[in-house]
Amino acid sequence: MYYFFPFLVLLLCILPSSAQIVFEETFKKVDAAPDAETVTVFFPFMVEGGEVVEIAEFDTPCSCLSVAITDDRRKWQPQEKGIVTAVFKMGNFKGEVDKHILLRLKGEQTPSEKLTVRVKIPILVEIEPRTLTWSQGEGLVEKSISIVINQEEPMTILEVKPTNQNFTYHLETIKAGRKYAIRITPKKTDQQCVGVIRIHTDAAIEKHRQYTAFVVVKKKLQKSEVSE
Amino acid sequence: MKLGKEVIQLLLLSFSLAVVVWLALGIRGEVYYCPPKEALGEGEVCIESVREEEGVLWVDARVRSDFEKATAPAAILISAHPDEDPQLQIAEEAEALVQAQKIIVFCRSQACESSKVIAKLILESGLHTEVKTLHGGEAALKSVGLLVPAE
Repeated sequence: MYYFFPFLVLLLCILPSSAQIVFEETFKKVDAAPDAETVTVFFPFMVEGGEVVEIAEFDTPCSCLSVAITDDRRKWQPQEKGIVTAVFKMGNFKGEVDKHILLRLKGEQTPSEKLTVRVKIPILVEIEPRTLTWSQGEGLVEKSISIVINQEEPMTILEVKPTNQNFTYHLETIKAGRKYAIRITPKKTDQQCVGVIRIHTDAAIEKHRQYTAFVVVKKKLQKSEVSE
Repeated sequence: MKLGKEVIQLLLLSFSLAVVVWLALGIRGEVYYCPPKEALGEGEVCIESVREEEGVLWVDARVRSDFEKATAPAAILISAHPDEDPQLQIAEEAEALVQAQKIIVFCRSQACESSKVIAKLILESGLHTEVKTLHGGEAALKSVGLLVPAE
């Protein structure tokens, strides 16, 4: 039985050295306001174990994310508490996106902590489908794009500006300020072509004043290409 | 005495070999290894499987300054940087995106996420269904000499 004492002493000596940073949460979900320019997220942490922890580096693979640690301190004493603050610059982005922060402690080869920020930037104008497609040689049939305003206040579609005149476009108001449709018919489908439709709104927020949809006449696939 | 001489000879040999390896890899640039297929992420491809393919459209999801220095052959820029508007860039490049047989998006490194963000936006636009991201990003292109000065 006494033979185990040296091992127990050794174990007790090793245990306190396994100090680490423990985060309250490593994943945060944020619903951003439609007009928000930046989103700030806090990741509180505490140092567990009996040794000083040193943050060697923190990396954000996206230039849109900046990170700061409380007091810009890298060395943390046992039981100390701090906060990693992440500021996400949203730019023109709309939709849902995950951004990560990687933390590597001194003495480690690879990052031991991965913090994730999931930011949801509302899409105020839902367009479905985003692309209308005809096959080469297909009949000159009308197809339509549905536009739904995805916010409480009404928003008007002011105009649609197409770049390709091989199609006819008709903007239809189904319910003013809430629901619209663009009815599109190709004038010919004998050649492949692509067009962009710029949808202009009266949104108060600049980045929601223009959305895009597409029209495409695609090459008809041969039977051999389909089976490949 | 003899043992000491042999140890020194072994050390010198090891050092010379290390210098040879360093020079060889240094000349080739950054080392990149593609993982086995099962270790690749969803929608990821290795440079080896696409470098010879025809009809590939390279989409550079890095920042504009990197794109302007060097990029993949005939690549287009669709950047997720906050100063850029990726939706507008997709609209401007719609024709190239539709005509491509396959679209491969890359960014700075394996850790960067811009390529995945841009690939998702292209898929959501409905302009193409065959959109992949390049495992290893810029380093993978460099390893096969496909990161060339921008035109």
